[in-house]
Amino acid sequence: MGDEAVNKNNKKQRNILELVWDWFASVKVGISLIVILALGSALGTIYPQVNAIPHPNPNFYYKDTYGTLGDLYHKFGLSNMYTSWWFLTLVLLLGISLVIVSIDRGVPLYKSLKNQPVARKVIALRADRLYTNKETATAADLTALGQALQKRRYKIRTVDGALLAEKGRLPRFGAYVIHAGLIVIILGVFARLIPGWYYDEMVWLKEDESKTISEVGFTVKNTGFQLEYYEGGDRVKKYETDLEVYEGAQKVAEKHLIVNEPLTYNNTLVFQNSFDPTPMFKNGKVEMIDRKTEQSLGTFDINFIDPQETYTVGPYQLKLTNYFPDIKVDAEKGVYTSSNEPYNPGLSFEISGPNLAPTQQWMMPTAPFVEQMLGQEYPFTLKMVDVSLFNMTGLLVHRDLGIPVVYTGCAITLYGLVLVFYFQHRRIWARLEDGVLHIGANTNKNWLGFAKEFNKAVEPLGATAAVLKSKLAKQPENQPEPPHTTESETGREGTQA
Amino acid sequence: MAKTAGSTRVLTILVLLVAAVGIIFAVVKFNNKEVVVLNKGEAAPAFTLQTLDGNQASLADYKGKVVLLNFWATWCEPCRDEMPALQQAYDKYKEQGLVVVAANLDENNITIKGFINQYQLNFPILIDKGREVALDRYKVGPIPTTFIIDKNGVLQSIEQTPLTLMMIEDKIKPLL
Amino acid sequence: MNLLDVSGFLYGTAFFAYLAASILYVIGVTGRKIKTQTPGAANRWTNWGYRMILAGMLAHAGAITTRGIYGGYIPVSNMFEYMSFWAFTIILAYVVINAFYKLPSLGAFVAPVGLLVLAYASVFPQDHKPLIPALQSYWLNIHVTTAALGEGILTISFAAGLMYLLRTTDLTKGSRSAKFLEFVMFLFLALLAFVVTASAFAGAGYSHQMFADTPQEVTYKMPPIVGPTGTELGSQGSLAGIPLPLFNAPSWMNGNNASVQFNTIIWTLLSVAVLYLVLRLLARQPLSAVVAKWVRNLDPDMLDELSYRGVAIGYPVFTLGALVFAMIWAQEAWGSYWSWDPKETWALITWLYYTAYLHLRLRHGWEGAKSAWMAVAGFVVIMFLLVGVNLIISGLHSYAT
Repeated sequence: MGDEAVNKNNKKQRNILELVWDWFASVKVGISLIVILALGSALGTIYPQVNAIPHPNPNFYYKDTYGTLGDLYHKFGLSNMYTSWWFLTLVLLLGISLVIVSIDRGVPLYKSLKNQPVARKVIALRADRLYTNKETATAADLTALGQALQKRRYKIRTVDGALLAEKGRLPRFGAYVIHAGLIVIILGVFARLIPGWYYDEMVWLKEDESKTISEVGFTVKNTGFQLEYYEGGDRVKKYETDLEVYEGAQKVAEKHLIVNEPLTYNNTLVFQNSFDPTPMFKNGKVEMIDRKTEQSLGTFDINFIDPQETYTVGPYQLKLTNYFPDIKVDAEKGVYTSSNEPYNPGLSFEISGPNLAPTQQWMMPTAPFVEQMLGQEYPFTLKMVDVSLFNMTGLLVHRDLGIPVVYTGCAITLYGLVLVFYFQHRRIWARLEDGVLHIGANTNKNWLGFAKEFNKAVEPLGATAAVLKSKLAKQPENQPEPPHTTESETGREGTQA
Repeated sequence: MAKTAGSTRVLTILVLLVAAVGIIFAVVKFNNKEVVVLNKGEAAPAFTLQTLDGNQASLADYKGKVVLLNFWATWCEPCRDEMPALQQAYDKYKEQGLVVVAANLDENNITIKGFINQYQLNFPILIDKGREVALDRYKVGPIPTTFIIDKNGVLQSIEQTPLTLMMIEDKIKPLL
Repeated sequence: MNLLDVSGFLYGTAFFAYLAASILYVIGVTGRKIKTQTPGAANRWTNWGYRMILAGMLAHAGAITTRGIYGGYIPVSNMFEYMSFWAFTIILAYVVINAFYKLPSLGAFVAPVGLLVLAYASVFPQDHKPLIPALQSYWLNIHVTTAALGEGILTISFAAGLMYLLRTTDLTKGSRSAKFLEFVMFLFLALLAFVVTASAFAGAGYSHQMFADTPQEVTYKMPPIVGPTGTELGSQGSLAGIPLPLFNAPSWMNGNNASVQFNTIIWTLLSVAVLYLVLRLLARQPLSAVVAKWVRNLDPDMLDELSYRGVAIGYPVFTLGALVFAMIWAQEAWGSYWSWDPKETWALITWLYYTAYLHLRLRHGWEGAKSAWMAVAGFVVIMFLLVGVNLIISGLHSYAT
């Protein structure tokens, strides 16, 4: 009784396994997965994904820009769907299907083609779409046929009284080569999940600024950024960075980065990806002029990135009491800075000196009108006589060790495509029986071209030219079917008129 | 039609199953990467930061007091808006053992000093140059973020919204 | 006169050559005398049509070459350049296919499609601008030209599929297929109507700027029947005595140019309605029935086969150009071979679509009408890839500003 139960269990297990296998091996399921994947991908294009929006806070961006629909889009996770579990599961299912389909059909095909008999029954040959024969034939004719076909690059296998000429068996597996290529690509993409295999972040560097990126193990430094526009100033012509790479204190690499030409170090690429179009203030030379006498009192230098606290001009002391790198003046909110970067510096000085009660004075190089408005009673004019601006460079640090895998997958896929669409599998069988040489043939596509080649080979032997039977012609009754393992053998893969 | 042998099928399915599980696991992990926070009940991470006058201050210096550790910057509007509330709380409860410690994210001294004068703040202000304490140790995301640490140095709550006096009182009164 | 001017002249020449070819082909397949000839045979008209096609193709190639020499890069960098290049590949694919499958009637379909695509291209700004750094790479040439070639070949499969459906669908009964075919005719006319309307207003120099609720001013290239949200009705001029705008875009339409696009759609709908009604009245039957006459007595199996061949040849080329080369270029320029940019995504969707087509045809026996409908719908997918993504969805990749 124990055995019975065990057997029942095995049977059940096999059935589930079989069900799963057959499900994945079904073409219908495969096509459905393809269609769902296509539709799903389209969903992600309705609104930009989170990695493409200009605003750092997605929770507000979608609602603000696209209204309720946009808000729902974001709340349902559609704004970041290509790494979502359901999308990746779809891709995974497709990958599994590709593997199972290829094994399910590819392995039997391989076995059957490997073990196919050389000698086929005459009845079967007669039923082939291309068939002809030669009366009063001899073994010499068989040999001659073999030689003629060999000249046309067919591989010949012979047994006593029969031969099989075959070429292009590999293209027959083209579909599975394509599938294999796609599997490799999917693996290459999923390889991004392996820790250390993938890193992709922007690094913004000001002039002479350096940042250490621990994930890739080195530091990048911007030692010079050049930006040029075409005449008219609205289209950028070039943006390039002089980049240095350090490990610790030691410089290990440097390159002049141009778009499309990254620096490679430690399996990581640093791209000149973008730049900040708004210039920042670097240094400036300020001239202090006495308002009443209109005399220049001298100049002092300011570093806008890290300004010092006190300055001396002639007999006067200037103390920087407040510094707003990106100053905004608002009726309700008051005076504040909207960022940490010196886009619009606003400086508040306390000036003291001989015969002068300490007086507060604003300097706003980018807002001269505001400065003027506030400074009607200022005893001095602070005039910027020289300034150097710079733009921040945007570098993309990118590591993806899966890239060679993906490229290999692409190459395999393309090779498979060529095999499927530009080559064909052709076979010609010949059987000498009772003094008659029967010749039948089969291909998986391009019957017309094959018929031409077939006739060119058989006619010199004295056989009548074969006429290509219509693909709708019924098989005669009681005839064994020509050897085939898949439907594709019956020539459904397209005919040429 | 020749079918694939049962053993091949079993093997294939097993391999695919393992691969699938591995991948899904990695995907979930990958997607949840960002969510790394400190937890209530943990010991608050130690730190030593510079003050405006060049001295140093550590979390340990405040042991025995309730610490309202606030990460902020002058360019952050909600941070600016909540400063008066922090000052009020400090004024009201410093005798009872509250200390407000505001760690600034990497701005220059002049900007910070100007701000302090503008808002008339007198609680300790520290400078987190390089944002190391904020990002690495306290896993701060958007600011303002305030950590409320009790007298024993244990983290009691993390506030990621701008605070009002009432909110602060609710949180610190039980700890004083 | 510089090379850019020569190029412009040659584009115009190609346009008129294609126009002449279209007319000649149509006459060639519909003329009364022709009825007695064997179906699909060439005659004097179609032969001249073919010569015009060749002449146009040469002029077109010349236009592309001169513009390319002028700018130092193969001209495929904006909507005008790309669309006209695609028109070129459509015609080129036809010429090549014609060497294998002599089918003059195909010319009656392909020539108008190529013509319309070239006309559509001319709606876009033709000024020549130097390349932004991201586009300065030889991979640009390789990727875009190969992709365009693939799309041109797939367009042939669309034309053959359409011919098959016109040949085999009974248009007298109001079946769903007959209705869909008529809709396809309507879509074709819609594109034509858009081109004519846009060109007419552009030719008249119409341009109207408005400051509305939007952060920037909006520019209308057609009289504003619909205005931006919040505009005072009737305040922006008038058309034939009717004050404009007649109504405003609803506030849920976001985006600076939403109202302009909506207005363009309305104008297109109005013109195509007029065009369709006029043609329908003149023809006194469904337009698809008129066009179906061009394919009468052709062998449906051959059309079916031709449509499949178009996909069989074009699919690998499209895979290579629009996906593989695109990935290589993206890796070089943006540092990531795939970033789910809308254009990349839609190229993938197009690829998946034709993959489904091949599997359905080769594994599920979807030949004949089913396959032909997929080929026709595939063209719609391609049009969305090239037009919809660029104009509606903006992103890193798009030509939209």
